[in-house]
Amino acid sequence: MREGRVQLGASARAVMLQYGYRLVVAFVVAYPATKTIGAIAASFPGGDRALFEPGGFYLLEALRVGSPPVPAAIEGAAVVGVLLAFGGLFPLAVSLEVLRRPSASLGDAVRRGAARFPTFAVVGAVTVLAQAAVITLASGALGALPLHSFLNERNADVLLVGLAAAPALGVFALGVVEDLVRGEMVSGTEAPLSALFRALQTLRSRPGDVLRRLWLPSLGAPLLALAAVFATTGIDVSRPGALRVSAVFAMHQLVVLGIVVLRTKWFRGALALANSAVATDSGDGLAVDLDVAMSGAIPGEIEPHDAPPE
Amino acid sequence: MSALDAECAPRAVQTLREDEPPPSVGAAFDDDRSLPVHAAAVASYTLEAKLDAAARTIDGKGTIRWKNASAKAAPELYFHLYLNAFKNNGTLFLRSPFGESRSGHGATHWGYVDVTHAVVPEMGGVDIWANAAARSTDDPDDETDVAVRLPRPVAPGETITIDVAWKSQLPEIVERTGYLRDFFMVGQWFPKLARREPDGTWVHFPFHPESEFYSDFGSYDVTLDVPENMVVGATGVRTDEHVAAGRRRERYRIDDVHDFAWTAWASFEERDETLDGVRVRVLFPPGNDANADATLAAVKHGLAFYGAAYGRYPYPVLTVVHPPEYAPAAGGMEYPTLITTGAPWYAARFSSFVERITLHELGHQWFYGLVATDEHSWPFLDEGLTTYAESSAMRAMFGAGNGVHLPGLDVDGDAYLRNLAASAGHDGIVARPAAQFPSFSELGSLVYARTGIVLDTVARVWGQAALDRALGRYARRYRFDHPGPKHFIAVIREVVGDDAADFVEGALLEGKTVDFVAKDLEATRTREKAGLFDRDGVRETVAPKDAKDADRYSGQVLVYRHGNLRVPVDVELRFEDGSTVKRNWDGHGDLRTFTEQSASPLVAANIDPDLRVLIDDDLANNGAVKKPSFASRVLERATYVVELLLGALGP
Repeated sequence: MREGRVQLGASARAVMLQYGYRLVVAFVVAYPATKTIGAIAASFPGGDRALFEPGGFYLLEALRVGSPPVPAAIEGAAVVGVLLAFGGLFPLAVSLEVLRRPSASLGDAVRRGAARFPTFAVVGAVTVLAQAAVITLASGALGALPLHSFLNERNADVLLVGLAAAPALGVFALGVVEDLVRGEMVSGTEAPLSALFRALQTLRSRPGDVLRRLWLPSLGAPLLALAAVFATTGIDVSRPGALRVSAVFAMHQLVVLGIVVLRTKWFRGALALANSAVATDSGDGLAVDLDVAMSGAIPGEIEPHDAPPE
Repeated sequence: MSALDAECAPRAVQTLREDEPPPSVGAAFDDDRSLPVHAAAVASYTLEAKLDAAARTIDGKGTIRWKNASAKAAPELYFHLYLNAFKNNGTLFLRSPFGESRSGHGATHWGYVDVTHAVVPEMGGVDIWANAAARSTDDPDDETDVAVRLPRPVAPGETITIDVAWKSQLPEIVERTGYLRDFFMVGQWFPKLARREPDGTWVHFPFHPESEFYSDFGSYDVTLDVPENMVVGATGVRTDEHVAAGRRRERYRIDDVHDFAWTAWASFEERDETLDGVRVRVLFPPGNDANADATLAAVKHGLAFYGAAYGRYPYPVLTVVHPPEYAPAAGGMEYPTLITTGAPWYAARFSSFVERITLHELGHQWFYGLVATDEHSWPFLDEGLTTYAESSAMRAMFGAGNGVHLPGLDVDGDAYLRNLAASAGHDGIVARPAAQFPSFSELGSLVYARTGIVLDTVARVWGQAALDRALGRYARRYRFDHPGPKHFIAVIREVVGDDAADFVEGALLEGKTVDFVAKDLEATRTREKAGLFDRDGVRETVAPKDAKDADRYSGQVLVYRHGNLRVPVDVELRFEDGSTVKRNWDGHGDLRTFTEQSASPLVAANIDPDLRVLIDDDLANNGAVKKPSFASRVLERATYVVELLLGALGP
């Protein structure tokens, strides 16, 4: 580490990019519906805190009075949300560039990310279509199984859920492959088909490495969200006080930040798994330390056959 | 109880007509000491039924003993042949907008009942069925409600016996009754007499999807003959069980009821427990053990809760039938000492739905079973009161989260009911015949929800204890009887008072509504005297004080009562320094102006801050604020949810 240098590491920058984008998008999407509900709740005792009172009388009343404006606002927000979620490929591409080339300037990463966005979009669209196809086919096949004719209600449903785990894993695996493809592309394999081939080769030849890097980010995110549910239950926001709202906001944002950190950790893993080289910029100072800490790996763990940085 | 005791035990006397002046009930009915032990037996049935499980038919025969308990001779009888509702698609049931009913598709296999003979020995043994009308009295396309002319009138007080035989073809279940695959739920399956009122009026009506019950009390002695492998559940006490030649014969007997239903299915599992002195059988599909446990817990709670509130459950048995998942149309029904529930096998693990439906149907044992109101004319008297009873029992069992209970979110079932009731708005009068409701959603929101919320409002405004006492007095006084709306209102008036009774009458019988609205909140500094004042011949000049020096404020808000339903309400005034005062308005008039002198300016006014008037049409106009606060809690929660969704669905 270069002494006296204060600079965010690549992972930290990648995390902030994605978290910042997510927070801004969430705010933009949530605001119109909030205004609509807020206008209804304004006449409740205590304003919108009445919505959180035990019993739910004001909550259901707001939903009743707010129909149809609230669903319409949510529907509109959902459309914007989907578009902005798709737009999230851009900060993701920039983040991957930052992770790949920690010493490059942010402007350089933005330029490279922008150039990569169209290919990422195509890969994303293909993945979503493939996932939709798996879900459709699986739903049809599972729905046609005559389980209830020879099993009782519970056993039939349990078996159905068990069988549904296979396509669910398939959908998840498609997402993993997409991430590996992104890693390959950022690491130098520009053509998506070649990147896909290399990603599949990685999956086939080193499944243990993939799983080792994947399990914590995959399980950690839902566990964090679940933990937040129980952690915030004790804070009764139906009572007056801005501090309560602030505390819940802080907890929720910590959870989101944690999820983004885990996701970034996985992307670092995906980059390391890529056959192309990951830059280990010796002049990166703090960035290297943070990156190593987040990946849980030592620099030497990066594949020896990685290509040199561009 | 010995036979002699039973003979000497007090019996209810069925004397009520809706047009009679309601009698005073009195405090004697506030506890169980005044409960009649037995009903006056008017229509009793001794029947035998043989089920052909392959053909889905029932061969039935037996004897009906009927007493003309009215003041006039009866020249005819009225029979309800309700399985004929499924005979063709022209019947009242199937052609009505509700006709598809719970099955969602209407009839797929027709059902009917053919009476082969009905002989009255007291009338020379003639087959009176030869004089039976082929069609329902007021509906030529329906065959569910037929008149049978008698060779001679039955004198007041006279009892006749009718030896009857019939064949029933069960329909595939459209709603409540019939078969589905190898499951049988058999209700409305035998020729059943309509009820004759004390003044000699027959209350008879075709089978309508939303009403079917109004009968006289009596004793039932029914022998069921089914395939040996069937598990049977039925109204009454199983007194005999005999298996031979591949057939199972079970005999069920019960007094003081007005209907009989049964079920048979080879795959039933069974729980059997004695709760509060009542033998409770739960019949349920394999894999539904958690639902069975939840059902038993609800029955245990319900027998105690309803027993304390409305008089003890008088029968020694209760059978709860949980239909298989593929036959939900048979679920959620009430018959004397037998109820049906229904839910997916996992329901009890994630929600209180099983307890709710069990408590609702169990509540019907009081409001339908014991207090046998006319469901056809006044459905709110059984479904509405039962909904209120169910809500009370659920709250006692689960607290504020009796509707939904999730971490950080408790929803009371009454919040949902209020929502449903408010959605009906001004759709019409609650107290009207079931057949006059143009859709099930209107019937549901008015008869079930609005009645429940009207009673909840009475409890919250005039006192829970007073309403509880009134309902208890009503349920005990009219046990084994047939009261109408006037009797119900009269007990409310007697116990809770005129204001509450007028409120209930207005809300349920007259279609009155109420919507409180707060408007025009203002707060101004109090003006002190300034100008020229002549005092004792001397003119003084008082300079106006600088407004900043004034330390008093005058606040005002207008509260309107829209609608014609009068109900007292509280109004809370909130000041800038956080202090509050509460004022009450008796609800007289259309407008009340609330003014308040205070040291801190008025910033908000909220009508009904404690949520007493749940029947208020719109809670979102109950507040007036000087400066609306930003919905920071909603924004925080919505932002977080969107962030999580972006994480789950985004790149």
